[in-house]
Amino acid sequence: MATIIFKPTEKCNSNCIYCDVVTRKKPKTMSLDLLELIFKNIDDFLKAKPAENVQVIWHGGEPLLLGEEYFLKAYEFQEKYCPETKIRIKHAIQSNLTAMNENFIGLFRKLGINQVGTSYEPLANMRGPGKDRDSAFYNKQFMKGINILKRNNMGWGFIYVVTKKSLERPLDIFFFLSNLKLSGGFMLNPVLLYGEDKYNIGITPEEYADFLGAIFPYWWAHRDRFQAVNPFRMFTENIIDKKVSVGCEDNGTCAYGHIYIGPSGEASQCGRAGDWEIISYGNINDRSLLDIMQDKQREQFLNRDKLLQEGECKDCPYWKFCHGGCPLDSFIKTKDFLHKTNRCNGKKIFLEKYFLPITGARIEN
Amino acid sequence: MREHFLVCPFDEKLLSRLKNERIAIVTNGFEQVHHICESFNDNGNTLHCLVIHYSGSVVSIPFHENLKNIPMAIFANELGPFKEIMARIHMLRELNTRIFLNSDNKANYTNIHILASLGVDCGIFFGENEIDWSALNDLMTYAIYAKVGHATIEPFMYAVKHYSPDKLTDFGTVYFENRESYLHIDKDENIAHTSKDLKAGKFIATGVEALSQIRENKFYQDAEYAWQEFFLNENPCAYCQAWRICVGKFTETFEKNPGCRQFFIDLMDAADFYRTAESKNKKKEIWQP
Amino acid sequence: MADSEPDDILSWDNLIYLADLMEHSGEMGISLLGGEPTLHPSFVDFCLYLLERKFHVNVFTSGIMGEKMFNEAERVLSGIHPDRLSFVCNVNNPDKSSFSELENVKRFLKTFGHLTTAGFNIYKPDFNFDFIFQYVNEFGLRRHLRLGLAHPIPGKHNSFVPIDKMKQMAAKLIAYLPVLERLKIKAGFDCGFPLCIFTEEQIGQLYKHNAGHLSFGCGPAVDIGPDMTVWGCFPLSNIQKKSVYEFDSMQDIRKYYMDIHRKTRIEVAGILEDCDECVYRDEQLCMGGCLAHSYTHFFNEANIRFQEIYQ
Repeated sequence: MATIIFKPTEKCNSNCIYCDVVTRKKPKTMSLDLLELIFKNIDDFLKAKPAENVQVIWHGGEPLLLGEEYFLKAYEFQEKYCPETKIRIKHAIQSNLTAMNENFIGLFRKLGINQVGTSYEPLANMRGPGKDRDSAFYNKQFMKGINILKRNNMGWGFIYVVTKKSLERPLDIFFFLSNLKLSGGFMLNPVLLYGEDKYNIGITPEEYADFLGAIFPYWWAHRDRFQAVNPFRMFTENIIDKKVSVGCEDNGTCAYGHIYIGPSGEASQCGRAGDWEIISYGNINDRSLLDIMQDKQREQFLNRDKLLQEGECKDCPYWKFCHGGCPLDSFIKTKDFLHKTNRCNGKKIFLEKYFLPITGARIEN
Repeated sequence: MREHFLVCPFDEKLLSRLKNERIAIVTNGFEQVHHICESFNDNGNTLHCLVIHYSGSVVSIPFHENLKNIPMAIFANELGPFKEIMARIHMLRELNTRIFLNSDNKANYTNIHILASLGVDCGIFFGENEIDWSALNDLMTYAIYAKVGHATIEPFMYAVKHYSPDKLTDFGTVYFENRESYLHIDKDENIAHTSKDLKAGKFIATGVEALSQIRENKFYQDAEYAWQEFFLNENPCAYCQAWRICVGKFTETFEKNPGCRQFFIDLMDAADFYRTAESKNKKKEIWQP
Repeated sequence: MADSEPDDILSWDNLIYLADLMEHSGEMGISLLGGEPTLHPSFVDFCLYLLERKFHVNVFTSGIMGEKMFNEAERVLSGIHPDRLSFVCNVNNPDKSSFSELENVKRFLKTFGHLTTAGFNIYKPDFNFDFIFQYVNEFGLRRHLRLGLAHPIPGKHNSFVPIDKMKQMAAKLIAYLPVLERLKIKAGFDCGFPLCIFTEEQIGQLYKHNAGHLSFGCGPAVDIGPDMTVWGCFPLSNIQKKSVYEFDSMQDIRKYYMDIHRKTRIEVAGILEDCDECVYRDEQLCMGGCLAHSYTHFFNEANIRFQEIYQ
């Protein structure tokens, strides 16, 4: 499966404290011509790779600000340019849901989207429009959004971004989030910053580990109540249930699997790489999708696995569910992708201080 | 037949306007019980339950054999002398009745304990005064964990039986107060979600004709998401680990008497215990001719 | 109905807990003791409750009750079948009782005699229970006499028959057998009588008197207090107390105290030095007298025994 992190717009109606995109003075939006070109490219790619599928993940900015028309156009382009390959194209979307309305539902269904990925923040003034981040308004709109999804039997899952402000109340936050959505679960992800920590929200890997550690005993004791809270569920499945399945950051296989396409057609390795402008694969206007997917620069990510396994990560008991972590996290610290993640220590602390003693599990090599 | 039960006072004119409904009739005494039951012969309505708010003690209720098959929920403030209860205990066990006692009377926590242990289905209802959460917890512990058989105690049994971790559990159902199951209607045909709303004039519609379209009613729909207010207003209940089994029912008294939190956490544990025990007790069924 | 009880009397909630514990343990007989159980304001209600739960209720009483309680008990309990309700009335020698006490006891026996077994506590070797025969005949008591032997309570100064006077006490007891037989009253021993205080001939007499049912036992007779503490038996009520909530069943409680009994018997076999070598103790025909005597030893020496003894 080739995953396209597709960012047709940088526009956003929320000034989230941990987001870089909003800092851009002139947020760009992809033209319809370029959107058309992308679907042509996807068709070419799938024809050239008959065993492949493509997943298009609509990102932003806030993709719903594109309006219903834009999604309708996307659907029409897909119908027009991908009549034979459309069955191998899957769409997904990440949205803050605050611009959701009933009209999007039919369009999402046309694109095969039956679930929306989102995020939520119970702490005040972290997300929301305007300089002061009007979270009261934001949250109200968000609730309206999820109610529309529920009414239409569409699913939603969410991420919580752990910041310095979260560290004071880990359990409160955990209970709030688990109450907000009683089925399906959610993810607790650390805030990822590149560059200056303007609002003093950054956390160290150790702080992240302790945040998770404050919650984990409760989750573990009542995991039937909080089934799919990650990373707890992921570690449980990998270590206890022995089902090795990890996300893109940890599976060591992102080299030829991901592509980012920004509003001007600029291509990069993934969403973060694109946002932070640290890898460029040129532009979809100039290169085919297939060509971008085979860019020489990608080789370093493939080789990284071997390099780490023989070097920095040699004999690490946690290798199989970490693979050195995300290369971008390595880059943040060393300006080089070929080291292990700077979050390595956090994972180790969580596992050794909390997960393994509490569960009584052992790592098998 | 629609999925809601209706809760209304005994009013023959109102009853004559309702057709094919399942109805709980709210009344204050036993004088009219048989008359109420007889009035259900027409229109295809069925008596779901008689909800009797009785001001006397339970022992002063004129229990009689001919009440045997009438579904009743009796809400009373006190039980009365034990010896007199004992004189009626066999009858009480045989009736299709649940006796609810008021939490305002501290002795009722024990009275319910006694009644249930003697095989009388009963429950506690919450009055105006501060709830003794510790006594309630003891009662709940008995209701769910006791090793010796006893009659059910509500709302605990409902809560643990209907609890599912992936949805809200509204034990208000045992008090006929749950918008998913009950609609309250007065003799002027005003319709509300709860008896409290009905009294306060917070109607969602007026006229029995509105009942058939109630799911499309805007006020009805809005109420489905009323729980979200807790999250939008940073209500402490939204941060409570027991939210899913309490749904903020005691939010007004939380600041003064926060014992509800531990109680509902324990109730949730009891629900987990009940579920586990139920699944263990599931009998294997093999084929039969 | 249920008012909150003071801490020194059993509450309704605790009564229900104990009734459940016993029912769960398969034990459907419950004894109400004190103090004086009829002083409990809910005494009659408790009896009614337990009877409704299908327990056999056995009440240990002095027979001395207040007017109100007596009237209530008479009205409610006197008609209960003896298979369901019984009393053990520990009667004192009328010579040692005040007039009002005596009248009270007689009033009780007059009403409840048909449900009552007389009990007599031997706390000195030269005892006398002639008066009991009068009670049995006059009030129609059950033709059984429950003979208890007072034992030392470790750490306290109470009256009991000293070990060296036990044979004298036994002889006195045997002297009563002809009159007991004449009146068709069977005397049964409570716990703690040692076998060897009787001669071979006396044993033979007892054997005939009790149709072969002789017991010289000492084992846990579990008592539970109003505060839900539990102890091994009355003489040991000050030591090795536990909470009833620590156990899942009556069998668990009994096993716990039985283990302590067994360990204690290893330290001190019985009340006499000969108990160590006694073949009848080995065969458990006799338990070596009351354990409380052994404990009295322990309390007068340094803490050299197994530690549970002192807890």
